[in-house]
Amino acid sequence: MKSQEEETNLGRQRFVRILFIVFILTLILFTLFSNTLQSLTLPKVRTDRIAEGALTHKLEAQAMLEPLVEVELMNPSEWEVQEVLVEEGQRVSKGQPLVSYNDDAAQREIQDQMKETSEFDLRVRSLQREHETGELNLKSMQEQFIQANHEGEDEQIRRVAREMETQKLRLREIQEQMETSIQEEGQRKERIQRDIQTHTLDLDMQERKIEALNEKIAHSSEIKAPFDGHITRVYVQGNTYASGQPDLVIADYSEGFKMEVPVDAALASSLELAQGQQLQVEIIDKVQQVRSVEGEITHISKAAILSGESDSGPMAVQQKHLTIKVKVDELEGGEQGTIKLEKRSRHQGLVLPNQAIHQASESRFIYKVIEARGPLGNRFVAQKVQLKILETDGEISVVHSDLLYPGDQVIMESSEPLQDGNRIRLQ
Amino acid sequence: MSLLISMKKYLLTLLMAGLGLVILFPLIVTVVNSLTSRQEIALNYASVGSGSSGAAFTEFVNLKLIPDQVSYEQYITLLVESPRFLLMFWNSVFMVVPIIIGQTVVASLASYALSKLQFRGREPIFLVYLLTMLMPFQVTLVPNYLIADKMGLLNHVSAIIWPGVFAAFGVFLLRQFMMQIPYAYIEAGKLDGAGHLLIFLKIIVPMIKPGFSALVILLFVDYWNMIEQPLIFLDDPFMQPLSIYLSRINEGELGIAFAASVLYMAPMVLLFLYAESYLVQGVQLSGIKG
Repeated sequence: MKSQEEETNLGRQRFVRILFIVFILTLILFTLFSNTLQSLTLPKVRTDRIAEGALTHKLEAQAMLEPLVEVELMNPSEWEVQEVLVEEGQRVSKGQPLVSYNDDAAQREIQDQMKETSEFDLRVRSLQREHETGELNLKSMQEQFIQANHEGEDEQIRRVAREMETQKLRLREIQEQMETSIQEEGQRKERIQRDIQTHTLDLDMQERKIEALNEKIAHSSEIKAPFDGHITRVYVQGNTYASGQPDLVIADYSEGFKMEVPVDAALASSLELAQGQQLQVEIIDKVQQVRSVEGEITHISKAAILSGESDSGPMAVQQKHLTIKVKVDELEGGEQGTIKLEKRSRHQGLVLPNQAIHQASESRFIYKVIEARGPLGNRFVAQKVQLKILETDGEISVVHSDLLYPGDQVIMESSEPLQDGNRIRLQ
Repeated sequence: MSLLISMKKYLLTLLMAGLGLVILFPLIVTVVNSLTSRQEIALNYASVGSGSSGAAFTEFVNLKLIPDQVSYEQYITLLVESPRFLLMFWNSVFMVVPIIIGQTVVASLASYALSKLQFRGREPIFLVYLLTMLMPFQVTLVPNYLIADKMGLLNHVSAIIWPGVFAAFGVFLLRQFMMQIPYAYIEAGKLDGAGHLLIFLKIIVPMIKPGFSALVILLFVDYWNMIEQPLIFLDDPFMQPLSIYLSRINEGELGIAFAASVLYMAPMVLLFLYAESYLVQGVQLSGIKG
């Protein structure tokens, strides 16, 4: 009985001993491997070391070069185009005809006018003739009268006043007739002279009209190059004529070229761009050769608000336009000009990619990696650090924080959303 | 007459069963809850620790002895996700084991001297031992702290181990055991030419084995549960034992507290089960001989 009790006792003791050993071994196992086990479940992060520095504002923009001086040549009289004498890209010298126009209508008008003129002329001439005949009539009458007078005296002598009475009557008659004639003739003459005067005025006007038409033909029958330059654009095609559009565009390459570049207003002020500033422009010409030339900012437009969409919703960007003048030979316009401007910001601080910066209401923060010396090996913990953004461009920011130092590891990305104090697994 | 005896026996069994249930009930609840999912625990014990003492009277804890869903979540949290728990477990082990070994050795030798050797001042020395044992820990706290400070032991486990090794309890307990051993054994040994060391090792130690078991269990319970000493002597949270961890578990981690409690009491329960017969034997021995 006693031994049996002892035996069960021993059996139980053995069981408890095994249980105890299993318990301790389990705990040892977990002690040694819990860290490894756990690190498999931790959020994976990608980090980057932060460095001290300043922001470099960069502007890299491309724009097409356009001639600085460009004149649009309009169809002067809206006549039909007869012939386009130049091609796009052709070099022309001053005075060279560029487009000729069909002036048939004008010529016809001149001919009409000329005809009318000659008609006027003829009429004036006939009037003059009429006037002259009138004078002659009068003269012959006077002669007749004088003759009649003479005749009277001779007859008195010769025929002793035989027909004196009759002659006297006749003379009186003639005299009366002549008086009326003279009166009539005077009125007629006045009328004819008035007519002549009017017609002469008409004639003058007509002549002036013809002159003007001739001038117009001379001026409008073709466009001449106003200066030495290049034809950059020909709008007319065949005989078609588009109202409101220039026929040709001619550019003066000797004045140089310009390019217009849009720039964010904030970037423009960071770069401290000013009118008259010199800068380098890289030009890729038509044969794909790159060369660098001096350019000058000639104009900076006022900021215009440009609204657009971003990841975080609608946003407005203030934009300015730079006009850069480039004076260089052997260009044709239409080349790509590239400007690259860099300026180191005056704000010195820690440089961080914006990707690492998080925002919660007003405050900005990042997660920094802290190596905590744990009892069972080192652990990496994410620590939330508040910071102030001194300056930022689209991708990088200069920040300030009392808790950040150059060389600190900052979390860029993590596989799961992090919180302050989270353990993390470095990639 | 026999009916009365059997009735009495039944009643006693019933009483004992009831008592056993009362004692075991918290243990059972702890084990069951340690296997319950975190959400369920939060749901069941929503009114616990809500801070409103008035509400405690109207709300009841939804006590379940079988969880809706068995989950090892709490254990995984403790053993995998918080190395702190395991660290503190080993801290406890490395504090308690040296104390037990040290005190057993020191106390057995000291109690041999105080019970079996005849020398002047034996009783007064024992009285002084007893006095230090009778004084609560809080009374000796300040002198202990000052001494540890002077010896440069602060913030080190030895500040806890050394006072434990030289504590008076073991001396008292083992002396009581040794007092039961008749002096004749020692004289017999002496007659056979054995020295004190041989007598101690060959005669006394085997005879007070139950005493050792009792001492080991009692010391283990005592030091496994200590809270004040580590709190005062150890600043470094990484050095503190498991008992502190349990006392610091937050309200929100009720489930973890259950799992931690199970793991915390496991060594104690196993040790008790293992040494139970020795303990009973020891108690019996001292009873019979006394």
